[in-house]
Amino acid sequence: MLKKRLILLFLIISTLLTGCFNYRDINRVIFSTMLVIDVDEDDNIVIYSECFHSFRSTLDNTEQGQRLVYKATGKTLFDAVRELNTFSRYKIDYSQCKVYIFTERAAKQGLGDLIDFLRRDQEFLLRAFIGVFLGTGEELVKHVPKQDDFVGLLLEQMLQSDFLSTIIVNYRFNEFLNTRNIGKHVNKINAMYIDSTGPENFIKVHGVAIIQDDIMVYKLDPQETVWCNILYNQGRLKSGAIIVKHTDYEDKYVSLEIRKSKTTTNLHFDGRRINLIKKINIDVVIADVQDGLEWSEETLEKLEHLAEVKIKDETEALFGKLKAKGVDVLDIQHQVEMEYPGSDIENAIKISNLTSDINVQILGSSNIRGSN
Amino acid sequence: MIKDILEKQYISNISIIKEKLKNTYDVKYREITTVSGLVCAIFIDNMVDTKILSETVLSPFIDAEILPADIDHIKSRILKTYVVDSVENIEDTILNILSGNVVLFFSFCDGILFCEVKGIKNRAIEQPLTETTIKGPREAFTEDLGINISLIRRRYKNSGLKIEEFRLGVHSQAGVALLFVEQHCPEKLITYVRTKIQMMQKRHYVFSINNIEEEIRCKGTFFSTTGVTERPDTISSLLSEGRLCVIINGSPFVMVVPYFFIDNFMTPDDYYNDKFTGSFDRILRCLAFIISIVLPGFYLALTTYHFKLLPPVLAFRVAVLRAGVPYNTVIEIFIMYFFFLILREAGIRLPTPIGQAVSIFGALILGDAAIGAGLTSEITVLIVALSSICTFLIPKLFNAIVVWTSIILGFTTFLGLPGFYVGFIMFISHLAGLTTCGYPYLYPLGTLTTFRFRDIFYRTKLKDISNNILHGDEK
Repeated sequence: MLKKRLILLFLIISTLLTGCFNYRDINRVIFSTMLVIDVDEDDNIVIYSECFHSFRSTLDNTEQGQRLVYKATGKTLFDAVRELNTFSRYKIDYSQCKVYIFTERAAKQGLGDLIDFLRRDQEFLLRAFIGVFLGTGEELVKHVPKQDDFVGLLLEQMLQSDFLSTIIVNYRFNEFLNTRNIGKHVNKINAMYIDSTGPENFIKVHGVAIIQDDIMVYKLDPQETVWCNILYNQGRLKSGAIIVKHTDYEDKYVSLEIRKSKTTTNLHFDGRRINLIKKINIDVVIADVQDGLEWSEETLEKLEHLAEVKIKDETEALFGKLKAKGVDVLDIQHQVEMEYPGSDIENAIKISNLTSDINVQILGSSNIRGSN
Repeated sequence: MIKDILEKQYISNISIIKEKLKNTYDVKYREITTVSGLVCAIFIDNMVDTKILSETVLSPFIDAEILPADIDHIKSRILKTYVVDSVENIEDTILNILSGNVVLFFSFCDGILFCEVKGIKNRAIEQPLTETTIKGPREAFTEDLGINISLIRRRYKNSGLKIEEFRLGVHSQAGVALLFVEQHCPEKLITYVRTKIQMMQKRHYVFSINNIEEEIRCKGTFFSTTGVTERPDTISSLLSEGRLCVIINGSPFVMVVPYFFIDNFMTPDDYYNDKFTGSFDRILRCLAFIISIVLPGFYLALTTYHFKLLPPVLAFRVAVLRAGVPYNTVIEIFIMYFFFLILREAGIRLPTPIGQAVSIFGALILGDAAIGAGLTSEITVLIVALSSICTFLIPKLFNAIVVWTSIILGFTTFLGLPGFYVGFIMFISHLAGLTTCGYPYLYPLGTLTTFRFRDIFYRTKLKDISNNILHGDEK
C-alpha cells in the first residue's frame, strides 16, 4: 500500500515538475543560436534571430542543416518573439541561444524594457553571454563569418576565451541581472564590431560598453579594458600582454606576457574620503625582446619596475577618468555599502582616491634568475 | 513345506513385477538355476553394466556348489558387488529397477536383494559453455548427480560438507542433493530451503533445476534471486562462504542461494587474474549495467525535452541525423530494441557458428538498412547498440535490464527527466525490496551491514578475501 502511495506521489510531483515542458523531437524544432535586439526609429523593438534548421532534402535525398535569419518587430520583446514564429516551419527554440546581442542604439536607449522577457521565460538561458554590437542589427546578421556557420556560436566561443581575458569581460546574462541592481547599477558588457580594415571582414571584440541604470553611458577602448580588468580582476586574467620600454634602448620594446594575475581590494572610509587600496600581483614571462637583452638580475628587476610603473600610471589615469565621469565601474559603491552600512554616500567613486601597490614578478627558470 | 511357500512367493513376486512393468520392452528377466533353486535377476537393459552383472552377480550363483538359505549370508558370502542391500516391499523394488539397479528374487530363501551395477552412459566432464575463463579450471558439471558431487568433494575436503538427499516428483523421482557446510551455513537458511524442497515431493514431475529455482526465488521480479552455475570451483567457493547449493540429477547447473545482486557482476576470472585486471573488469561490468539501464532513457529525455543540456554542436548534429526519420524518437528506440531482441533470439537459437554470423551480419545489415530506409537514425542505432552490447557483459541480468529500460523509457516519454528520475527511483526501490531466502537482495549495498570483506566493486588481495570471508559470520 505504501509503495503504491509513493509511486502515486512521485507521479503527481513529476507532473507538476514538468511545467512548461512538452515532448518535442529534436528535429522538429528550429534552434536559435543568437538573438539580436535592436530598436527602430519609432521605438519599436526589432529582433533578429539567427537559427539552425535541420531538414531532409527531397532533391538529393540527404539530411542537411541550414542557417536561417528571421526578423520581427513588436511593441514588446514577447510580441516580437511571437511574431518570429509566424515565419518558421517549427517552433523556434531558444535553449541553444547562447548569445544575446543588443545594438548600440538599443543600449543607448536603455535595456530596461528589453530584458524582462528574457529573464521571465524559462526557455531563455540565464547563462547566455550578452554583448553590445557597435552597428545595426541588420549589419550583424548579414555578416557571414568564415570561422563558423553561425555568428552566435562564434561569439560564444570568443567570449569565453582565456586568451582574450584581458580585453574582454566574461559577462553573462545572470551576472548582468545581479549587478544591475547593486551599487551604482553599473555593468560592463563586451562591445563588438565588424572590422573591415583587413582583407576579410571579421567580428572583433572591441572594448567594453559601460551600462549604468540600464543605459550605455560610456565605452572603454580595448587598452582601457586591459587596465580596468587588472584593477577589477577577481582572478580571471589568464593571458594578456604588457609592453614596456627596453632597458637598454630608447626606441625598442619588451613584451611581457601575463601568466597569472590577482588583485585584492581594501577600502577605508574616514567619513569624508574613501581610500581604495588595490594590491595587484602579476606573474609575467618575457615574451618578446627587441634587439636582445642583457640577462642579469638587475635587468629583470628593472623590467619589473618599468612594468609596475606603467601599470600604476595607466590604472591611475583610467581611475581619474572614470572618477571625473562619476561612473563606478569598480563597484566601489557596493563595497562601501557592505563595509560601511550606515554611510550615506551618493556616488562613492567621486570621493575615492586610488592607492595601488603593484608587484610584477618575471617568471623563468631558476638558472636564468640566479645566474650572474 | 517351507520350500513350497517360498517357491509360491517367488512366482507371485515376479508376476506382480511383470504386471507392474508390462509393456516395457527394456526390462529384462534373467532366471538361473542354482544348486538350491531358482534365482531371478530383474534389470533394465542399457542401465546396467552387463559385464559386472555377469561377473559379480550371476556367476557366483551358477558356480556355487552350496548356497546358504539365509539372505544375509547371500549378501555377505556370494554377491561380489560393492553395493548390496535388501528391499522391503514391491514399490521399492520397482524404484530400484527403474533406477538402474539389479533386483534379485530367490525361490529358496526369504527376501529380495538389489545390487548396484549401474552402467548408464554419462557425458564426459567438459568445459563450461556459459562461464568460460582464461586461467581457471576447465571442468563443468554434468547431468549425473554423483559425478557432480564428486567434483565438489574433490575441491572441498572437509567433514563439515553435508549432503542431504531428496527424491522429487511422485512420478519422476528425481534425485536431489542439498549441499552445505555445517559450520558456516546458517541453520535458518538450511531449514528454509529444506522445507521448500520437501514441499515439492508431492508434485507429479520435477525434472530440472528451474523447478526448484521457481519455488525458492522471489516472485514478481525479473531479477533472479537464486543463482546457477556450471562450475564446481565456483560452487566450492560459495559453499565456503556459507551458502547452500542444490543439485538435481539430470541438470548440469547447480543452484546456489542466497544469491545477491552484486553476484551478477562477479565472474570466476576476477579471482584467477590479478587483482587490478579483476577489479577493472568488475567496475567495467558495473558501468555497463548503469549504461544499459540509463542510456536510452537519458538520450530520450535530452533529445525530446531538455535540449538545453546538450552542447549546440551535438544538438544540431543529432537534429540533422534525425531529420529524415518520420517517427518520434521513442518509437524509433523501441523499433531498434525490437530488432535487437529478434537478432539476439536468432543468435541464441541457431547453432553457435551460424548464430554468431547471424548476429553480426544481422546487426550490420539491419542497422544500415534501417537507416537507409529512414526508419531510424545513426545516433539512435548507436545508443541502442551501446545499451544492448553493455547487457552482454552481465548476461544474467539481461531480462531485468530489458524490462526496466523499457519502464524508464515509458516514464521519460511522458515526463522527460522527472519521469526518468521516477523510473529510476522505482527501479532502485524495486531492487531494495527484493529478498533472497530472507536476506536483502542488495546486500551488502543499501543495507546497514558493514562490508566485512572488500570484494564488492573491486577485488582486493585473495589473501584478505579468503581470511575475512566469514569474519563475524560463523555460527
